[in-house]
Amino acid sequence: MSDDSDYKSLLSDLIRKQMVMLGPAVALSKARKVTGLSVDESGEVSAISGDPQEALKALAGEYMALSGQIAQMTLDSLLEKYPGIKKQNS
Amino acid sequence: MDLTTLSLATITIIGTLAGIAGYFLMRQKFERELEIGRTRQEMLSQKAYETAVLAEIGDRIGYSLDGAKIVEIISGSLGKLLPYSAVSYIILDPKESRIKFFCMVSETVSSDFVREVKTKMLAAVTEMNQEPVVDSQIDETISGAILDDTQADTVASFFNLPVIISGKLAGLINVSSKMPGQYGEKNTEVLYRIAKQASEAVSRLQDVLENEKGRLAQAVDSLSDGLLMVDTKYQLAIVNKKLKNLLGVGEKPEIFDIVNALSGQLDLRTKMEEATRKGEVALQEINVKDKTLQVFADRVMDRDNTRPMGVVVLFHDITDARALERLRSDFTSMMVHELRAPLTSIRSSVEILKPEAEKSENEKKYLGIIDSTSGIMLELVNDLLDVAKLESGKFDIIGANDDLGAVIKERAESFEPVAGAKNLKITVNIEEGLPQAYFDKIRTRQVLSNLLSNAVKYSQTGAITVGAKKEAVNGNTVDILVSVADTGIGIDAEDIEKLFSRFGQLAAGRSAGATKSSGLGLFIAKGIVEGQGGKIWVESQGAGTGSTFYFTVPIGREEHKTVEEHPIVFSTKKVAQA
Repeated sequence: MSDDSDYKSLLSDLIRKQMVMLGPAVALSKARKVTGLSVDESGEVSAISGDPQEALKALAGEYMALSGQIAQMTLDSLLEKYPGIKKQNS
Repeated sequence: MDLTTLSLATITIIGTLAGIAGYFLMRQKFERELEIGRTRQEMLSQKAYETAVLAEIGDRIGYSLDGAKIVEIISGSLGKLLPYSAVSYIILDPKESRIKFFCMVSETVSSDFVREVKTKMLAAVTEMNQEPVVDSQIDETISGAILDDTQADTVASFFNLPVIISGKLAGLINVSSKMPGQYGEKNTEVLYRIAKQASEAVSRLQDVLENEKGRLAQAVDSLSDGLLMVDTKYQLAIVNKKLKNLLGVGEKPEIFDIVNALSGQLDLRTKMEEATRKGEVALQEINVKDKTLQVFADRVMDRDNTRPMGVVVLFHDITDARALERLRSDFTSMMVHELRAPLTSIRSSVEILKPEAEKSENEKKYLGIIDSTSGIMLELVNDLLDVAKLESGKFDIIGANDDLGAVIKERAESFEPVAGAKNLKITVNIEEGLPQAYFDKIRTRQVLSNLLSNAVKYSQTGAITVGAKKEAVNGNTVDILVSVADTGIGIDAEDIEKLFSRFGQLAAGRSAGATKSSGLGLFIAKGIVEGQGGKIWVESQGAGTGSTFYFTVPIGREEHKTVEEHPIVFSTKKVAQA
């Protein structure tokens, strides 16, 4: 079972990549729409309250609405670094 | 102060306070409604903007599936929607492996500002494609306001808008400003929505196109002929499996592989250029890797048939057909030669034996049978040889200017005995002053013999009339019309077509003819007449009404020589095997 730190790390990586791809303001505003996610100005997730898997799904959904399959591909490549989370999401 | 005054004062104060509270409540309500109205107006104007941009995208893209156009249109439409210092876009061109960067500066910035925009965009592209971008691949265009390097502005706020077609990044739009905090969800949402809708529409069209392309590719691959198609730049668009196998090229050949495989046999480039200019290009036969192929090229036009879009080249494998033809021709020649010699020998022997006076009646009768039967067989063998020559295009016709009337008279006279035996009268009508004709004497005799033989064979009573006269067009004599008319069994209209085909003897003819024939006579006559540049046909009113056969012979012209001087030899074209 992956711990919260993995999720925080993964979510932070995802947000930071989206900050490069979409621009910091847009990426952060989407991340801050996700319930239970606390994100600082650098894209670092400081806290997740609630189910981290749900938070990941919601965040991925927000970014996919903007950049479609590219967001999915970004997430897929990040999940390779977190096999425990990848297993839960498959 | 008495109680009444105090009450009045209290009421007044309360009333005033209520009025003030009411004012503030009403004001709050108005401000809320104002806010709602403003928000609604903003939403409406965003919706109007969205509709206008999508309509423009729809009009300008049509069915071109061009992601770059979506990028250009959205970039160009920003106008007053958002505040910005520069709007830029990147278009990825996979065909040429180039990246095009355009930056439209709306207010004066420094070169460093533009450089920073480009760096951020390339970082986004690298992240999205998960592949680094090489600087040498980038073509850069900057337009708009003048750049001022004394300015020290940096990109304080920006956002990127990706345009994704069928899962691949087609382009990226960047909006940047010197001012911080310019872009948030609220003022960028409409742009993301537009880009998404446009991209999805184009992606759906592209999926349909890919499906249709897949079906076409399967259909082309299943063809039994080799096929390739090139575009207007002679780049290979389609090459099917059959052609790849015929030429022995790999699974994904380039046009050069095909040109090399055909080199020495076919100048493919020249053929394709000719097809582009003229349309259909004549068949050519080539030999490649022990295969005989017929090559046919034609241009492919656009829907309005005004502009060529490419060339298609078809390769038809006729190796087996050619081998079969050769086999048949060799067999026929061999059989004919093998049969001719003994038949000729039989006839010669009979000729030698015949005159002996001491032969009994039976011996004379049987010698007669041997003579006539071997004669018929020899005739059949000669007919078969003639047909084989006609079909292979090797039937030589030696044309020369000569007296056709004399040939007609001579042939008619030769048939008088056999016609007389059936009480048939042969009449010859040659027009006065008939000019010389251009024909092969021996072969034309053959035609006349066949027609006269048929006329006698299929007539029981009456007469046979042979005629020849000039035919003129606009007062100029163009050919001589020969006719052979009989009073025989006649021909039904539906049977006329079969007459000139191989073995085209009609049932009525077979039962009426006293002697059997090969059925090849009219087929050979047609080949000879047409080989000389004439036509042959028959007219009949139906069964029992007789028939008239006609054929034309070209007029002898000055450029034609007489047979003594310089006869022109020409071969018949290959005759279709009816």
